[in-house]
Amino acid sequence: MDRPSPEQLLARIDAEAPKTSGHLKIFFGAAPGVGKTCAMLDAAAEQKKSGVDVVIGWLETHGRVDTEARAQGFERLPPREVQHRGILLREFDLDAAIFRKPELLLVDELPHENAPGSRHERRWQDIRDLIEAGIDVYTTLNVQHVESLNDVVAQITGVNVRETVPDAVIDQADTIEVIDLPPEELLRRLRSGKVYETTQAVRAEQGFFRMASLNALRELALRRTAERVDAEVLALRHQDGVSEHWATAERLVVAVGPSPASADLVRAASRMAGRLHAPWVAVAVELEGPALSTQTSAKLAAHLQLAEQLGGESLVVRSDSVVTGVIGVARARNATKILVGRPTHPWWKDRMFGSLVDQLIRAAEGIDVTVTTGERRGPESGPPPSKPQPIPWADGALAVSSLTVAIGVGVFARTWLTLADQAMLLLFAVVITATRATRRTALLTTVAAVAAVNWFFVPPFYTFAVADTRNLFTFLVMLVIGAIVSQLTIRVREQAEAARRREERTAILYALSRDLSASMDVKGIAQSAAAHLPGSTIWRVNGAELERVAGVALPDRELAIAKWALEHHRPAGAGTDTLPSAGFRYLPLTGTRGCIGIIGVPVPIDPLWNDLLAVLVANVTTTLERALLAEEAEAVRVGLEAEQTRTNLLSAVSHDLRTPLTSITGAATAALHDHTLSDQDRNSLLETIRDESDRLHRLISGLLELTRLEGALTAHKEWVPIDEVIASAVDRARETLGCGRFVVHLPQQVTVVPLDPVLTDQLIYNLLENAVRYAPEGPIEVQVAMDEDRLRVEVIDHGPGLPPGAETLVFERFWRDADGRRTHGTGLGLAIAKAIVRVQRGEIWAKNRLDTPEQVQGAVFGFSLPIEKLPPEPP
Amino acid sequence: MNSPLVLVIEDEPPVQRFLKTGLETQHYQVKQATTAKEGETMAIQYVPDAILLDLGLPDRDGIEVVRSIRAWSHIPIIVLSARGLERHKVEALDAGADDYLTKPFGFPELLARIRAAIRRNARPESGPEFELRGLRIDFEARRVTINGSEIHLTPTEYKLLSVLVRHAGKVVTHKQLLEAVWGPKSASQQPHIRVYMAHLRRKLEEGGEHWFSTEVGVGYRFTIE
Repeated sequence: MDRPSPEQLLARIDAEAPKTSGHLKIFFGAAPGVGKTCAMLDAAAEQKKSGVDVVIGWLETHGRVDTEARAQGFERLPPREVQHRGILLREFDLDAAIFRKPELLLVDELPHENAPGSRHERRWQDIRDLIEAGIDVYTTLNVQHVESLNDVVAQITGVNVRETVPDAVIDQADTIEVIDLPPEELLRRLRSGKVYETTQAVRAEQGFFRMASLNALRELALRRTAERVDAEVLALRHQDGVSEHWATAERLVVAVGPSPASADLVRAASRMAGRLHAPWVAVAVELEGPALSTQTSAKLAAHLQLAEQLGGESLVVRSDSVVTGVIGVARARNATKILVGRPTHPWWKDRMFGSLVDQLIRAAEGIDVTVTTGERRGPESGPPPSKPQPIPWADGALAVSSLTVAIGVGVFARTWLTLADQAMLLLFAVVITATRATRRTALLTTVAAVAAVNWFFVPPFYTFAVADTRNLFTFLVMLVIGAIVSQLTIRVREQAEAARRREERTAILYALSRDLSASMDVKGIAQSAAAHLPGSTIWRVNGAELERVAGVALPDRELAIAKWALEHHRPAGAGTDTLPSAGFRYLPLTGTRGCIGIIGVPVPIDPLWNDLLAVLVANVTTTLERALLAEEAEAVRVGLEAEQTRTNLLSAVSHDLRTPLTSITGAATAALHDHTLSDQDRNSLLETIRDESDRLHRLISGLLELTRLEGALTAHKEWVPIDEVIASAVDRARETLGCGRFVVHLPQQVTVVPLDPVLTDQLIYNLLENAVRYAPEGPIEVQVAMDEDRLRVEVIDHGPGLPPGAETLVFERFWRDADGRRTHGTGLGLAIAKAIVRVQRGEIWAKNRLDTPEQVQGAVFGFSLPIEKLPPEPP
Repeated sequence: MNSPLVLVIEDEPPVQRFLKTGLETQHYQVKQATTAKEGETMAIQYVPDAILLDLGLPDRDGIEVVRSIRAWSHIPIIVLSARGLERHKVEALDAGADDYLTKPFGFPELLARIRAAIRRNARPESGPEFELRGLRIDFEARRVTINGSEIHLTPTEYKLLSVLVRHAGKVVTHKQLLEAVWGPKSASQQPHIRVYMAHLRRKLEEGGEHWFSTEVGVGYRFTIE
């Protein structure tokens, strides 16, 4: 196959990039002053000429005149001004840029570090947001700011650059344009004051701008770009399925620790992985035993984070030895290479305790082990050296007091004790100290104990002079025994401590998973998770919004951060790169189908939780996802059932709707076409039309009512005198049914009850209508009574009563007996009555009134509604 | 005397057709509008004796039409609305509509409402006395008698009665009653109005006469026919 041309290649990338997000173009140079900013402005001017909406978001002109001249004629965003410790800082205004939303935005200096309190710590994060907001961005970058080349650059120039950009950001750029300038030309420009003002220029020439450095940097920049093009071509081939699958060919595992050298090791691994096009994993092994100090684990975490920024994966495993841990991961991941740092400790330690590298090589059968230099160059970069450990005063006090007691006893009982007894006494004091103190204190105590034996108990007393040289041997033995016993004691103590911590973790995890599995719904799960992390808040994703399901409501500012975490699928807030000044850390709960929720954990996070947090998040995510799936399944089930009901209803309804329509159409066409009809006949036809329309109307209203009642309708309860509801229903029945047979029995007092007046009116009316229809003669009584906490209403007729077995059937939809069909009932009235009662959580019944078991006196239709609380006081 | 003019604002042609035919046979003059805008213009142009207004118009909410006509005129407005939308009726009545009819309605019912509305509008502000079917109210003495025997009402009951009687034949919404009896900002009294109404009805309707009708979810009407 022909190699695709660069144009085709670019077109393809363009075509495949998601249209919604913006494109990033980086103007990449080897050193300051090569003309990146000018090139960027020229390219932007070109775009502007072709009608693109171009805005300058941020420009560093360094006072260069030609740059400033080129920037003329562009719209420029005003900088955001930040007060920091009394200094006014000017920063790029991200929010204004997103609000302005130009098609193309120029933001100079990709690696810039933002002033504290900005949305992001770094400008490349700002730019990432811009791209996601659909804005195309032009930016500039020098090679020394590339994260993976950071150490190499430092070696070349001797200058350590702190502001670095992760390689992933550069790799994700849509276009990289190298701005190349031969070093001779650059130096000439520097001397002529085009790069820096003259004083600065002199200093710069001594450091950064040496000929050799510039050549090396230029090579680096060109090679970095070439690698990228290579990767693009390979990716293309890979995509077309032409080439071999290099992606599975190599896998790299790099072992990292808390030592500063590990940062370089991670960068080296990233470079090597880049060359091999191999996925890579940075592994830290947490040993069984004492927990790492906060500073150490922070350093370790920084290295793991660096690995992730450089495009690797990070992993912490617990194991009893580094070798087992690393090999375990390498085997599990099918790694082909293990990368370790060159040991930094003296050679004799290897002789005494065995060499880690040797062990690793022996254990790593079939896997290459590469040892790279762990040597540091130049001054320490990164975090400042850790503060000295605080002096353990409590330990010291314990050591001094136990030694004093031992010496006291030894001196007091000198006449009865031998030197061996006294030495034992002091060793005892050492062991006592070791049960509580640090290793260092225990060793110091051992030395002090030996010195005390010499001073107090070895003649000549109260001098360090030793009369008998044999005693020197005693001292040596004592020193060794003291050291070994105290170290063993400490180890036992530490193991007990570790076991206790493990137990604690296990207990927490057990309690968590027990609570989670006990919770059935989303809310329950979120609440039990929040209960395990006091003060935390959990949201579920509802469309594009967050819906709080557990924990306290947070102010808008915090909520905005949680939303950021949701939109970007990345942790945000305290302890992360984004808005670290927040009061919470927001972790996305990312399940198999994307982000399903956010958990906000208040800081500072309990150290115990530090490593448990990930487990918690994973656990909650899984459980939550399960609950969400269950919720969806339930919704589908309900939907299917509703569908089924609808189908049944439709088939029943179609018949009942067609019957009146048939009569109407028939009557109307008859009246229209036959001009010979007598007035009487014509009237009869018109009456048919009126009655059947009325029936059709009742049927449709009934169906609508039922649909409403069976849907999400909730009763709108109000305190209403029962008189009023009864009166309105009876009045209406009297009017519309033309029936005056109603007799109402109300309670003595005006009784106020909580009910939905509109629905209850309909309910009583339906019962009355039913009575009128089925009991053609005799009074229709309405009996209203108050039980203790229930309102009872009964409609009593003197008709033929219910057919046997119909007591519950009458409340079914479209159930009618022969009389009902004759009287044009809709078959919906009682079904609606039942639904209204159900909505108000009451009961409904139908029965026959019997004087004797054989003699039916009529039917009783009744309902009762619960009365939940006391009525309001009248004014 | 000229036959009264009715403006029908309704967008459904079949309904327009039967209203026009029906009303003209009953010797009303009929003007027709199919949109809110056209209706408002024609109301100003013709100043009809009554307006029939459909709430579901294509261009604007019918309630806004009520408000804009009420801004300059007391022409009786009868609102036509679909069933189950009690909230709309209340809004329309609160906005100043005189009456409402739920679709579908019978023609005699419509005629009765139009007649009542026009009559009510023509009648001058009620005088010092009111008398109907044996019920006598002396507004100056605040005395209520039925067939000569005095009915003892509490001040609130009397106020309720007088408000309803002054708007006899017309629906008075809960909100309008509240404001008339307790003044504005008295929404919290809403439940009590019903209790007073229940007492009032018991006192006045003991003899079996029906003076009031309850429009469920909307308000009350003092019936005159």
